[in-house]
Amino acid sequence: MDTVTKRLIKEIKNIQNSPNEQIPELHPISDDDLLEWKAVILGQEDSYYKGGRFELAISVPKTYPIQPPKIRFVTKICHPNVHFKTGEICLDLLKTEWSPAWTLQSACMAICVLLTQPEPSSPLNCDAANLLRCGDELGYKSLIQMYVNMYAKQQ
Amino acid sequence: MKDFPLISPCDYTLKHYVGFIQLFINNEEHEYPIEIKLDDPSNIKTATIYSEKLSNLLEDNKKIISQMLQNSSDLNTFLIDLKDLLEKKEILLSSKKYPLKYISKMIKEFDEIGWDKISNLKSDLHSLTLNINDSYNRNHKLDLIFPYNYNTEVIQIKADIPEKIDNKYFINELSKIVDFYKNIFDKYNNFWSQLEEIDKKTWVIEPLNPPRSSNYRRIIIEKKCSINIQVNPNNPRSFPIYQFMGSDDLVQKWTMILINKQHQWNINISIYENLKKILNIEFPQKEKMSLSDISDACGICYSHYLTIEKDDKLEKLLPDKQCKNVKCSQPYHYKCIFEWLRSLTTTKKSFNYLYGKCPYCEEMITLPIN
Ligand SMILES: [Zn+2]
Ligand SMILES: [Zn+2]
Repeated sequence: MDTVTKRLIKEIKNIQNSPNEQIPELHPISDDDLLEWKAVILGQEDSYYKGGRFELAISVPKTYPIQPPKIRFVTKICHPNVHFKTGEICLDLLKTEWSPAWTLQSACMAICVLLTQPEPSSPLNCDAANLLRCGDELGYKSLIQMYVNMYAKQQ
Repeated sequence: MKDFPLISPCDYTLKHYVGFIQLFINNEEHEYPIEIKLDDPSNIKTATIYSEKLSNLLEDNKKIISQMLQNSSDLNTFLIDLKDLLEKKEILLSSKKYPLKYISKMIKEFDEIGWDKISNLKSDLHSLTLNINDSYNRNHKLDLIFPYNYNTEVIQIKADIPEKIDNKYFINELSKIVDFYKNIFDKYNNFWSQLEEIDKKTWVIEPLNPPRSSNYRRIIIEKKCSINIQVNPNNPRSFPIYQFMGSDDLVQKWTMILINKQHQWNINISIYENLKKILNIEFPQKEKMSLSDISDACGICYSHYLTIEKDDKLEKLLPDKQCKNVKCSQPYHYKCIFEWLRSLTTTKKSFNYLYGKCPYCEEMITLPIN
């Protein structure tokens, strides 16, 4: 068994032993390929993403955990640090600040935190970032909630 | 017959068998008609073998075959030995690798060694394994690879012993090889006895399934602490090179005990007995604890054992590097942390050392470049 498979099997066990309620789903898409994962994260109660359910696609490189996983939003989301069309996420942790001390679960938790604490200085979605930078809280909030209602409403 | 479905008795007297014996030679199956007559059906020693196609082979090996008949308990086991012998001989005689003159020399050598000591004879004499017993009931395997040019090149010999031997033997010197290595194997009896006792009476976490060439053992002392000892093959009962591994305070405690009591080391008793006496402990047994009680897994691959390739062999290694920050002390496999530090742009390299950040606490880790 190669190193990445062994590590991912341990991560799966850890996720099963201590699941996170912010992340109701986090698992490989199929048992045959442990490198492609699906995750679902929930918008936190005290945030504008409340009531939203967001699917993430995680692609684990063969060089994991030396290299970070590639994570993008599948569910459309309006967020200053997420590209609206591609779902690409701008998060230092997934780029320069990555370390093998992180796991797929803790990386997903970091994305949950990013939802409540956006970083408007490195925007991938200019409309949202501009509203936030201009201090238009109301406009910002209603834009986000419109997209949550359109794409991410929980059943 | 059990292993020879193509051979059956002619009648109820069970004195006369006919059929075919199948030989596998160079990956091909050959069938030879064979006939066996027994004067006394309950006594295999009274058997005579006939086969026109194999008559030369049978005639040449008359002596060995009659010996085999003496040592067999029944016809089936005799035929297994016979088949094995005939296959080996056929491989030798059908080989086009060496001229017949050399082949017949080799056959003489094999006769002297005993054909039962030879296994894994590969087609066209590429390689074989010699099974050698030392004087202390240990079985050793000697892997031989034959050269292409028999006049100038020598046999490559792979032996599982704790030293490198550079003797040169040509293909017609097989019995010399056996004699030479038998002496070498006997020479290390005391060394292997020391390690066998340790393997039997303690919990060795590294190496797993140690080869006979290995001279070190990592033994569990207690939870979160192990000792790595390196035994001198030429002076096995002398005080070994050692290193305690595990949590800092335990390593310090046990190192002090061993340093203070080192003068009590007695070369008349075994390493195991010495360690037991000096450390004053009962060594923990494997069944009582799990590996996670003993040591933490590597912070990068999340495994206890990492399989690496070393000298053509797969070895399983435990984490051998630890973050020096006492609050962190995260263990890593050398290879894992090396790959990580090498991938960082902030890692500095100087005089064959890497200086980079621990993935967990960001303290500096210093790593020699092997
Ligand atoms: Zn490792
Ligand atoms: Zn550290």
